[in-house]
Amino acid sequence: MKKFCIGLVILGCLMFGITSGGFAADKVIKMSTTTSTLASGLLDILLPELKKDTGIEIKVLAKGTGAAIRDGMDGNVDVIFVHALEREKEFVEKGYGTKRYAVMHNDFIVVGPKEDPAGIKGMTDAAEALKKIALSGSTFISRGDDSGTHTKEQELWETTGIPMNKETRTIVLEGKELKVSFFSPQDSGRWYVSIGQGMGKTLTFADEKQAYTLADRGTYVNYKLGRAVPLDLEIFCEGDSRLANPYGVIPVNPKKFPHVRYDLAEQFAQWLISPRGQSVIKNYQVLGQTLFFPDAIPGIK
Amino acid sequence: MLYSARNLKKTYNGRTVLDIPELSIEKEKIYALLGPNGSGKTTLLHILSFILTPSTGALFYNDKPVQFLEKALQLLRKEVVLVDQHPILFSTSVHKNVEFGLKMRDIAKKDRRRITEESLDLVGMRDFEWAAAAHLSGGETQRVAIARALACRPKVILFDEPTASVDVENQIAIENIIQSIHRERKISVIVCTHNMLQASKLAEETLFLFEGRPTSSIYENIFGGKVIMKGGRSYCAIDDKFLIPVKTDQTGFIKISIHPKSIKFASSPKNDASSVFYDGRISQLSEEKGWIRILVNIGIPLSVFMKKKEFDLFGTGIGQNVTVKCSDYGVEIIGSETMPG
Amino acid sequence: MDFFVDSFLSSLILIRTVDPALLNIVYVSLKVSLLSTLIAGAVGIPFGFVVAVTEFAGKRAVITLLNTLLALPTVVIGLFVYMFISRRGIFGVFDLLYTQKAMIIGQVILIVPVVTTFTITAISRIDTRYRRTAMTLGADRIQTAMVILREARFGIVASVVAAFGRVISEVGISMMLGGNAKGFTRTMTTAMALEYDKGEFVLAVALGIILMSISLVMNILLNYFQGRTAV
Repeated sequence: MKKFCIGLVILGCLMFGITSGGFAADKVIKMSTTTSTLASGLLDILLPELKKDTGIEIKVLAKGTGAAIRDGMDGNVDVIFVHALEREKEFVEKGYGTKRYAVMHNDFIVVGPKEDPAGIKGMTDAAEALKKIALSGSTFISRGDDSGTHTKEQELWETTGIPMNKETRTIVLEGKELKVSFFSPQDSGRWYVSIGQGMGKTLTFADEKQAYTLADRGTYVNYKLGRAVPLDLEIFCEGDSRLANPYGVIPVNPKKFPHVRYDLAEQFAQWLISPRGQSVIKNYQVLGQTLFFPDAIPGIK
Repeated sequence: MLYSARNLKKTYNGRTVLDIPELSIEKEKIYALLGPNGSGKTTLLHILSFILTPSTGALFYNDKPVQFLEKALQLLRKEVVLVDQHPILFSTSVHKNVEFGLKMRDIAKKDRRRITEESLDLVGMRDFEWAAAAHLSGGETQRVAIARALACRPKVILFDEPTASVDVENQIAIENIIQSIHRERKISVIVCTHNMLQASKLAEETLFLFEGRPTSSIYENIFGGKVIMKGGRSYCAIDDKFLIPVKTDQTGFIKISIHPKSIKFASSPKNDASSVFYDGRISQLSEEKGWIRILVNIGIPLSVFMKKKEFDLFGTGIGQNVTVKCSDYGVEIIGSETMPG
Repeated sequence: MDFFVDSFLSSLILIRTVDPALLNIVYVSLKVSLLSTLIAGAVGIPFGFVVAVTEFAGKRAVITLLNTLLALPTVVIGLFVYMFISRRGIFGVFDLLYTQKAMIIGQVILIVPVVTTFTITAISRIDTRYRRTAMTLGADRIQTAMVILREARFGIVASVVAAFGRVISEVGISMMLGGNAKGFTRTMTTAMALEYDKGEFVLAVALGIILMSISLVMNILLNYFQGRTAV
């Protein structure tokens, strides 16, 4: 029995040593990011280049922006790479992150079925397009997952002037009760479907139901052109300045969470905004389409 | 004839468990169906109660051929009820159990009530009418099962070992119930039993079954062994030790029965051509109507049946050593065996 | 620790205030699961009964197949049903995908084997004398079947309870075929998965508490009925 216990302890130490030691020895950091960076295929190109240049390896946790930011606030990751400007600023202001670095942007588009039942083809005013969808009662699929895209969609609905539903929930944070709200169009009844899932899933859902949705261009292009069975959805509304979608990278603040690997996270952020990182982003194309436009050095080749 | 059958056979996976060339059962009588365990009694009883279909052969009920089709059988079952060896009651009340057959016969509610009570009265279980069936003892269960069968107002009741699972007191009560239902209701009864006393007490007619076949009487002292030749005579060697004289031309393994009345006590053992002698010890004695049944252990148990007068001559008792004489005229070959055993 | 306490307290507030969104999710869960269980029971109990009481060639194969189907992962069922009812699939014209009907189809496939195998076990355990007794007392086939079903009732109810427990707690089929559409196909389990993705744990924990309570009640019922069968 005694021998067994000792053996168990040794085994435990070994396993702990392998896992934790493995990370300590290698330059591995954890990053929470939005599904769009992963689904667009950008990270598949970016991360190998990063490893080649700096030796840093990144463990990617792809979630909605809300969950990604939450991971940072809980100290579960070393760096976040997301697209929800206001919330990113708040994240830094509250001391969870050290600094936001503008990395790149792409844009949102409104897509829908070929038949275009709402008649929004060629519109440039995104809010007007959404309003037409609402008034025609055409099915609209909402991410509904508190992601960057969902945040953008809620902003747009608010500017349409359509009466909004506000859903308020009381939560407790650090001992204090807070109210949080979600918005969705009123009288949305059967046409507004909130599915609470990632961009890819939302696009296939819209495809199945032949409905409209708001998508980021990267994921859309990848699903439209990069799949064996292409999406049966067309772009109807693009180019509105409100549809811009900036991405930022923020290392998690070591003052808040001493265990985070700040040095490596900062090195990763610096690499992203360096000419080398920006150039990789600029040159990433899916079937001839540029998906992301560098923001740190806009003129980079 | 209530039942008659011709060439009735039942086989399971190629093994014949019942083989009856001819069978006749008269109306309004009590029949006993006798035979050792595994002789096919239960199989025959299930065929006669129309819940088992024979593999081949013809069966007649009230002189009409039985069509072994579910619809026809179901009609016949309304007249014939089987009481299982270890009857099982539905997990409801005693009342509901007895009422079951009446419901199946679409009897009006108030008649059901009356018949149920009458039937329970007949078996002396009226006080238990509202008890949960699961809480009854073996004897009580058997009596309720009889009441349940009686309530169906059958023309025939078939009992499979009705006293196998009950104490002596209930045994007598059940035998009386069987006799009274036959007497008072003119119900034909077939009782399956391995108890010869019970058979002789209850039945007007007796049928014997052995290894699935009808026989003229019941076999006792059944042994299997190999035929060997010794000194120009044939013997059946049991366990390679006991040589029983037998008249046969067969070779290989056979099954024999030694008639209990043919076994004699011998005071001066003297081997003759057709007999052998064995020393043994009396291990059991019982008296049956002027006859004595003696169990003698000679290494294998032998059942001996002799007149009380004859037995008294020897003045022996339990535990005494005796010499027994087996003669070939009392040994009958009742089967061949392919396997030793 | 704060994090855990915060989430837990918030969930209790949510349950206490009878949040309409929460209520709707619980309603959809119960409705879909109950309907699936009902349909699976209507199919599985008679099927299990027939398999249990009749002798036919390939009976063992059928039972082995059913036992294999017991272990079928929900995502496999979800995937296959998806391929059939997708807009591009054979049944695409019925527009079933991402509806409660689709979830029910998937869940019925999931639990018919559960109900069937449990029913077979329950019926097989029933003494053959019940059948013989019912027959000799004049019961026809249907009446005999009813007797056997009555004797096996606790085992059969246990099978239905187990099946309900399985569907109320599964997430694969509900997510893949229901699509987690708010107010339509969002169930307790898919909502929990979503809330986790959002990094919001309040609703998830509240639903978890409710789901665990339901599972507890189901298990108590199951234990009760299994206990009754064993006697």
